[in-house]
Amino acid sequence: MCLSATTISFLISYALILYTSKTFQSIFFILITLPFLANESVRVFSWQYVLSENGLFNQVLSILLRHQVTLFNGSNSLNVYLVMILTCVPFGIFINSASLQTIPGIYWKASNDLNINSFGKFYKVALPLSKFAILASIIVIFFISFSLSGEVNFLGGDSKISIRNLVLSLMSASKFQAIFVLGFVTVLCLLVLATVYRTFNLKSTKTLK
Amino acid sequence: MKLAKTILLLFLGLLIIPIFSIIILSFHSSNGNPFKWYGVILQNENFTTAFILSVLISACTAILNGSLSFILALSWFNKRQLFLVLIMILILGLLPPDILALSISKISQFVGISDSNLFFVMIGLTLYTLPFGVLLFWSRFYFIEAATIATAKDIGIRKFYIVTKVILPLSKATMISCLLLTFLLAFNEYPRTYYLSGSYVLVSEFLNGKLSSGADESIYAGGSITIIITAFSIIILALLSAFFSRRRLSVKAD
Repeated sequence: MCLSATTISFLISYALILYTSKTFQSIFFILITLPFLANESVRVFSWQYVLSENGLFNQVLSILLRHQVTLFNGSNSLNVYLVMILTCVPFGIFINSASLQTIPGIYWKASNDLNINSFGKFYKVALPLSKFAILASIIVIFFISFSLSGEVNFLGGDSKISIRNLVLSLMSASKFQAIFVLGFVTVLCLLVLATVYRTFNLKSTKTLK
Repeated sequence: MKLAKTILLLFLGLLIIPIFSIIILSFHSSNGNPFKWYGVILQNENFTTAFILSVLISACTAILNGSLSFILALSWFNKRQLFLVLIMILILGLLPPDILALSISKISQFVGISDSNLFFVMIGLTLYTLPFGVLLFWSRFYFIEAATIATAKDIGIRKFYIVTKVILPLSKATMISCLLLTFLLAFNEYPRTYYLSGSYVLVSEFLNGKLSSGADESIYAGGSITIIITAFSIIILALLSAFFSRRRLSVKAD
């Protein structure tokens, strides 16, 4: 999930930074924060409404494909997958856009002078210079998707395996130690990842110098 | 270029349309009065009490977080402290909220003040909003030229006055943005309030309970009120940011 969300977020960031004006970028950034700032319950309920069997998405697909479509419904995990990706992608967009904005303009100018096409610019300039941002978005998106519970509980149908349900079931069994062990392991993972990330970042900065 | 814009607009639509579908639903009524459910929800005493309580708690959280974030963000000017604060905001931002809230709840029981639920809700919400506040201040500090701080040091200004007379005035706009953003985050937060509020009901809990139990349509109006408040605050934030950046540019030009 985090890999697909990171890929989508990087492609969107690339299109946003390279092919749109500053005004468009500002409006885009403002608008993508709206669902993230909205109430979790309202946000998830609105997704449930548009992804129901007779919801907006199935209706639009039915019109486009000219036959009855019931792709999105509560019985498969497609709803959860889609909503989790759409919830996490804005975080990736923020990280990747920040990284792409710091690439000096001379790189884009040089690739224009060398007649490198859009794919070449993406593959030879944007991707290598954003590898740390991509890594950071993978880590951030992984942990955010790990914490998403409302989405799974509202949209997950029968398979409601979320961190909140796990915590609540452990709570009702009075197994608080297990919850804190889970929290401790998460913190430990974060510490290790942050240290590894910092070491690699310092090494690459030294090499560049 | 056109294709890129189309894809971006499609993505934006995919993100935004579901949220606004709730607003459209809130205007559906059988008797033809589009504001019927707004009247019903605003007459619901439980909703108004939860709403007022949420506004108060969020305002207090915003003030607490604004000051704390600013102090922690000052680590930007010290490399060692910067890494420590980065680790702290990573943990606070990425640890599952349910685990963090439960830990706070256990601490409140351990120190024997578990009755002070609202105080611990505020602590939980402050810990939740802290990473956003710190990141916001860092994004401002990035643009404060090192020469400005160095000059202040050279002319013998003490560290405390550098913070209060140089850094703080330069971060005025960010402080306002931080207060507004924190208010919104705290106002709309559900998991932490669920674990920590005890017998008190805040607006996000009220909405979650009603939406999951499938209450009448007035709940769409309740949800829409929170969305409208959020959207309105984002517009204010954007306008403020545009105003301050324009003023900064005009000062530079002078």
